[in-house]
Amino acid sequence: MSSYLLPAVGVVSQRVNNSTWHQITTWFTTASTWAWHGENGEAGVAQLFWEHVWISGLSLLIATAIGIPLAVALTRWRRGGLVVTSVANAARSIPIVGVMLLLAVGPVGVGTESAIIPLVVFAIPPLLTNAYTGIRDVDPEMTDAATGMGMSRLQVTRRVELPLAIPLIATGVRLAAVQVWATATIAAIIGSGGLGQLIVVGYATQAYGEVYGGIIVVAVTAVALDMSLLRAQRGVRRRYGSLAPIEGS
Amino acid sequence: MPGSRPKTIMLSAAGVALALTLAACGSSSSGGNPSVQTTNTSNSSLPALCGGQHGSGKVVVAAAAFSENETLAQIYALALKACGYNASTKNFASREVYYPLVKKGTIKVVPEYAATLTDYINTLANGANAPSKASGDINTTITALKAELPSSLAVLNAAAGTDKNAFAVKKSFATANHIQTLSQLATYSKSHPLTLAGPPECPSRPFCEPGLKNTYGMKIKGFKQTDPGGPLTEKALTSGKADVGLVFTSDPTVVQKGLVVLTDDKNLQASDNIVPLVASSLATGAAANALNAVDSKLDQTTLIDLNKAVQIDHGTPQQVAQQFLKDENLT
Repeated sequence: MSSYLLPAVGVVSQRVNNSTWHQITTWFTTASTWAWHGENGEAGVAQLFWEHVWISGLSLLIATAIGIPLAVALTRWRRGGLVVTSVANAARSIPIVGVMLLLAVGPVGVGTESAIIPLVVFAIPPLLTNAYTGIRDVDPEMTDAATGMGMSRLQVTRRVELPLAIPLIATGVRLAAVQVWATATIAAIIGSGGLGQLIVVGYATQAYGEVYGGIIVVAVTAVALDMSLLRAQRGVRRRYGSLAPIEGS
Repeated sequence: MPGSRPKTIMLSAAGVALALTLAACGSSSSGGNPSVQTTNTSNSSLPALCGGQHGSGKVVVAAAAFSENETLAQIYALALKACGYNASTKNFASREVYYPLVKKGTIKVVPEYAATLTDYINTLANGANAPSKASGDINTTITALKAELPSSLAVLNAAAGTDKNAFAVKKSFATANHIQTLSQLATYSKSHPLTLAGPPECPSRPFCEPGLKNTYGMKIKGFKQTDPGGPLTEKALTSGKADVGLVFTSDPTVVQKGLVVLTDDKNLQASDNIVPLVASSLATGAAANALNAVDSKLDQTTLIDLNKAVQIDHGTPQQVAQQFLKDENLT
């Protein structure tokens, strides 16, 4: 059952043979695997999970704080669409591992900050494109009516455009969250911890059970995150109505 | 044996990138063709390093694919040429590839690392889980190595220079606290627990965190996961995120970054001194004299300088080897 998950991470070149299978089951069934600290004081899954939540959560928060206002600003501008496409494509094409390593050996230093900065850049495209589309697609009659009622530009944005765009913004947040969660795995390369630590340390110590375990834990939590955000998104859509299909990207 | 793995990783990280750049731009200057040396082989004017003996015949010197080993192989080949051998070098990916050829006699000389070679041959003979026969003491290691070598092979004198794991601190810190050895650092750590930087496997490997704790009694309050003696470790040290970090004794970037390697006064690290592995037919005579003469000059500082000349100053291994032999008055 695990073999189809393997191509997802290129570090494992080994075939799953019986002894590896044994290592994997041992890893999963050892109590200290899931503890805060392992037997020798090394970080357990519980601690790594919280580090992962912290790194991804903070990255997503910062990306949202940048992406949404940027989207609002760009809808005010005739050439905004071009900028959105350019920014999104540029951010998507940056190789995160390289940026992370360069920041770590360069100005930012070895630590969590070097992981968060590229993750923020990586999370912006889905947030920006969805928020931009959501706001731009608001029926002009709605904003005209609001303006006619005497609302200021800011009030129109806050009370009409953003609420109507929320279903799409929520889609952007979900996509960004899942992407960041899965990608935050590489933060472990520069010693920033998180669930990727299982893969990096497992690989370095040839404990392949831990490597497979790490891959499975990251994949399963990413799917769980996606599903729970999808549910939340449905709730949002029930509340705010829908302008767009929920799967939009 | 863990000792061999980080070395390969480190040198591929620090060296191969530079070596690749060299491949592209190295040939522009003076050519560095070793054929200059062959003029010396006209029998009367043999250089002193041959010990008055004249060699002949074809000798292939193997090099593993990292710059330090390539430079050493060039030095050995040039020295052998100077004594009359028809010597050339050949690069191989790793020991796993060249060792069978050495055993067969196709390759006659390899610049080797004593402890890693000892463990390699040991695991070939006794399985991957065989207890290590290498020691922190070079003489013990060489004795063990000689005992397990097949009769067709021999090792010559080990050089003082090593390429092994070591621990470094900031130079300013070492000076301010009068720390030169790991024992002194351990004493310091009793009142100031330290943060250690090292590769992911460090907390579980005897030569790393457990070794510092058990052999030296060092007090370590935290571990910063970085890389095996690479730029992340150096950055963690220079930026103060870690106090002590795992590096390699022959890495020229350590000094360059304002770090200093502390003496491993309790021999925690296995003795990976440079040592020539040769075919038994070369264990005496001109070849042995020449390679022993070279090794007597390869102390730690010299080895670091050689690596600096290739990895940082972008000389080709061949140019650097020629310069070394000239500077040391060997040819």
